[in-house]
Amino acid sequence: MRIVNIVLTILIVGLALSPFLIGERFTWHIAILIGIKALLALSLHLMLRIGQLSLAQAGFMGMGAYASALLTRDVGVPFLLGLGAAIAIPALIAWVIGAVILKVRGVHFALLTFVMGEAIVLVFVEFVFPFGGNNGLMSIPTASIFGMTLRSRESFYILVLAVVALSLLVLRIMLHGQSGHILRGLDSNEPLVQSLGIDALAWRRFVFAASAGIAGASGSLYAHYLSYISPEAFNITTTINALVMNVVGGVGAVVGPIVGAIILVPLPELFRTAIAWQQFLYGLSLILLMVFLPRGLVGLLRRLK
Amino acid sequence: MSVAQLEVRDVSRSFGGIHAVQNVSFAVDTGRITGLVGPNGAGKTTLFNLITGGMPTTSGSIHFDGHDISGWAPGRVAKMGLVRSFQAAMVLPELTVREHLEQAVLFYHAGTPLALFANRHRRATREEARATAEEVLDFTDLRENADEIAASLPYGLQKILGVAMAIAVRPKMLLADEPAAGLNGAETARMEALFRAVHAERGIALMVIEHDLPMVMRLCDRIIALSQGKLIADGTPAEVRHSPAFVEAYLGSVADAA
Repeated sequence: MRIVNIVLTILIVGLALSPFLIGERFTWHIAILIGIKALLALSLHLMLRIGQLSLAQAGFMGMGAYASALLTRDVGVPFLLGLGAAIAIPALIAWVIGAVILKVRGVHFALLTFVMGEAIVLVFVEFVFPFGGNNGLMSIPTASIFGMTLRSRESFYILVLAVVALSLLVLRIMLHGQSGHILRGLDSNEPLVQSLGIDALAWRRFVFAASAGIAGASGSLYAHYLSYISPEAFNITTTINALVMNVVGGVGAVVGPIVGAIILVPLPELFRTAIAWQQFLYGLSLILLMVFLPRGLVGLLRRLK
Repeated sequence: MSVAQLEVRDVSRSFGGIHAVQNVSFAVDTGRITGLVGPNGAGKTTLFNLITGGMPTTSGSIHFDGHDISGWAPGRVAKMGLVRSFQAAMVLPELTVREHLEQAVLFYHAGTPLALFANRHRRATREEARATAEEVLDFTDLRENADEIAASLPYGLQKILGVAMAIAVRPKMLLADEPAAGLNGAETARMEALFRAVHAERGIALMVIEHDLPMVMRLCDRIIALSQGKLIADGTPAEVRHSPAFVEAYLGSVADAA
């Protein structure tokens, strides 16, 4: 298990650095997209670890994207503050709403968060001011840090890597040590840990808020990278893709969703030459992966070991 | 002078049209061992869930140590010193017996994320957890199993561990839901001895739901009997055993036992 983790870590770090060696424009583009989608997949992963499937993640990503875009473009706040707001606003909303919806478990929680995600997207569509309706928001400023504008794809990619690394650190703190024991206990035997003094709802709200914050960071990076956002980028399909990344990579370990993102983000590009077949082949690949690797690729590697 | 530690005041709970608990009232004094008996479906576990399980009452209120705890989340009730153990053995995957006891103490201290991450005395908390685990291992005779994975223990030992975890958080009162269910004769005797020690040596008040009537009559100094959600008898074991309502509820099976 430890060897698998070390090999995987080296492999992922190697892949993360590979754009610097390849240096092509398209490679940078794919690498940045992988980072942004990996963040969303990680945010979903955190919820899966406490046994709750949140389908509102793309909605939180959208909140982050719109918050960051509007604050930097129309209010003129620096990018880093925009990013901070993109993390804080969804986190705060998740924390408040979590007090009610986290009392619900299983399929009902998935359905509630599905409705919540769709409602968030509807707000972006219906409130043309300030969200721009179906047209979305354009001319979102490029990210800049302390006066240094990240115009090149290389520099933006470094920013994405930094945010991914920070999110991994947050997940590590939450999933290891004492906090990890509590979250695993809540997932495996909630009545027992509650009977010993754990405030289950407070812990779930904490996880939900952290998860929404990471999704929001993903949205901010997405907005400032593409400089254009529209509501349909944050609908249920985006959440499902993040879920598929978790399933393909494996939900047992934090590296799972990252491996999933590395495999799934470039996949549609591989089938690009056969446009008509693209969706079909993509779907077929997913079915094959799920049938033959129910525990994801990370699970397969661990079994081989 | 005895003070009512746990007071159930005119509590009712219905699920749809089913009246699981109806107008039940009683008060339990500090340091007593109280038995809660009754046929299946009498409302005993529902009553426990109302007291410690975050289940709101339909009407009536529950008080512990002077606080109205009706509908409180289980974690908050545990923090007040009212802890329960469960009918089925409850363990966490992959942890050893010793780790279970340490985690029980650590869980107790880390009720909320703020309590965990803002704890300035983490090392002291860990030390306390370690020391408590060792002490409870001896107290509950679980030392020879200390390094075994709890989930792989025999059922009876898992249930002892359940009580041991509850003891580790130093409650004022322990509510035990059918501690002897699923245990053989030797295991039941061990559980009974453990409860006597919990009461005598640690001064923890006990309230025990139990179907093993001979055991509960031996162990408890007071018996509360429920049937179909209603309180039908309340008194010493001898009084309850001879109360007509109680005998009728058990359809004579108690008359044989007595």
